[in-house]
Amino acid sequence: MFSDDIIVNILSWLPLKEAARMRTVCKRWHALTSEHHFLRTSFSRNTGSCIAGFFLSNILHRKFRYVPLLQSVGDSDHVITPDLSFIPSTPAVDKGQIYVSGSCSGLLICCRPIIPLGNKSKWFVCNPLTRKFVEIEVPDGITHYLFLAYDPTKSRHYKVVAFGDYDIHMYSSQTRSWRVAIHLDDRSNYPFRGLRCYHSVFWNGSLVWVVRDHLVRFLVDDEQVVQVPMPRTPAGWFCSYIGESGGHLQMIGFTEEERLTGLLDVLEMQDGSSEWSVLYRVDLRRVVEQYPGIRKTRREFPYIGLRFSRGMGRKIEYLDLWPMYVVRGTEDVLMLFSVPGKIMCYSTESRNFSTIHGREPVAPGTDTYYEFSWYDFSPYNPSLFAP
Amino acid sequence: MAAPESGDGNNGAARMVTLISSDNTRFEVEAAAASLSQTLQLTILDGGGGGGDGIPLPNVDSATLSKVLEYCIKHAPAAANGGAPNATAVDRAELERFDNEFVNIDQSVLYSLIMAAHNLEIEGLQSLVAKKVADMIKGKSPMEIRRTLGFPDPTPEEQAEMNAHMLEYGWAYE
Repeated sequence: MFSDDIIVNILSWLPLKEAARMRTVCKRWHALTSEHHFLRTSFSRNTGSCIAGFFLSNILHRKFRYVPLLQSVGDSDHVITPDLSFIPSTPAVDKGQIYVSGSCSGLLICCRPIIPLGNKSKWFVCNPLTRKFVEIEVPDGITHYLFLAYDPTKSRHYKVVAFGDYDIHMYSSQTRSWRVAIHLDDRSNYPFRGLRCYHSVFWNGSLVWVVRDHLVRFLVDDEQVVQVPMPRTPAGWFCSYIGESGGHLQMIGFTEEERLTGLLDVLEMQDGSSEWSVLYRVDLRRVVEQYPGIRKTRREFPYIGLRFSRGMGRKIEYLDLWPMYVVRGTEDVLMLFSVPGKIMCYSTESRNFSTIHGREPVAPGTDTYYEFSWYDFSPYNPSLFAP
Repeated sequence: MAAPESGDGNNGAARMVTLISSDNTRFEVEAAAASLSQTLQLTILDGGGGGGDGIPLPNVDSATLSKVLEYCIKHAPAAANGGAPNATAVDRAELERFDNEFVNIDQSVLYSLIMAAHNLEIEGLQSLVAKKVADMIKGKSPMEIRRTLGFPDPTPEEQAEMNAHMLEYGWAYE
């Protein structure tokens, strides 16, 4: 009775799980709801300006957790707690552990480590909602970290990127194979020297990393590496967050003196621009008032020659508060941040903060609680895209 | 090409166009309302549909067309404001109330309406009716959905295929 267009329009208004059930109705619906166009429409209609939740994952500290952010977006079946147990495990070598190292449009890139660490991990791209996964065989000569690049509005295929020895390697889900995308000949100008952490942000078709004094952007389709400048900043300033939300790149950075004030500027760069502008000033002074314990002191020892100097070192006062993610909604900007034992959320509209994840009781004898940082954070919105 | 008249009209009267349904009923409506249809917009911009000409719509019957126009007339002022960023909360609530009541209709009318909305490319109406049909099939089993939409009962082969898919998509039923 209805044309294909009409059926796609109707079914893409359904919550994702219900939409997937429509594949069982008849052959034609199965075909229509498996097409990329349908998956895209369904994803965009089921995805608000916020995120459904996030993974926190740190392989070195053996930490892994999923935290739902939205308790309900209309339908209760939007609240999906992903479970990664469907990914094959060899308990003898991976101890059942799994870590998420990145996410794009509902797909995750994750690994099962081989214990002891340092051995080659097993890597997977998966969709935790549909429980489909693909193992990514990592060829020799590639570092142990993979980065996912997927923009379903541009292509149904994703790319996985990894560093080689002065190379950038790229895996395509279209060919299911790796190749060298860039060979970086000029070793004295190696753009990734001073890489701060093995975590990238996927922003408008590119992967972005933080290196010592700038950002490096790899344009996945153009296979080109470009530098992105840091904002003009005072001495002692450091970048403590980059992330993507609403199609723009956000950054938070500060000096220790600035962080102590509890006033943090969220900077933003729009695509096509190379300028940073202040998106919002986040006022966390009430957090500092309420949790005075996050004001701390550490000693910094000047580094002289090959030895750290003995003696007392310099006392530095700082705030144990770390930005984790900025959500750029249409009406509200949210900032998620961690303080010891807690992950909190600040809303710029209500100017209120709330705890979204509390410390689990620390068992006696275990060491200190590990504080997650932005590079342990992978935002998640469920989708039906195939890995 | 006839010079398009201004929608606001110098003498205060809004420009009118005539639409002709498949059963030859003529509907006179403001050009601004009819222009919510992407299909009609170009013809109207070219100055068509005025005077005695009328725009024939061979795929839409008069009962459905009058319903479509009811929607267009209600939504035209907000659409003219470019999605109405400056609309008040009261205006938006009123449109929402109208929309909810508008789709509270007999299933067969709803189905004619969604086909007309797609035919005429009226985006807001397409979404409104599609959402309503989606709500109707939400929570139903595949067999119930087939019956709701008037599909014939599955052949044994189709039934076997449905059962196999039910197993494959077990996660979606949890």
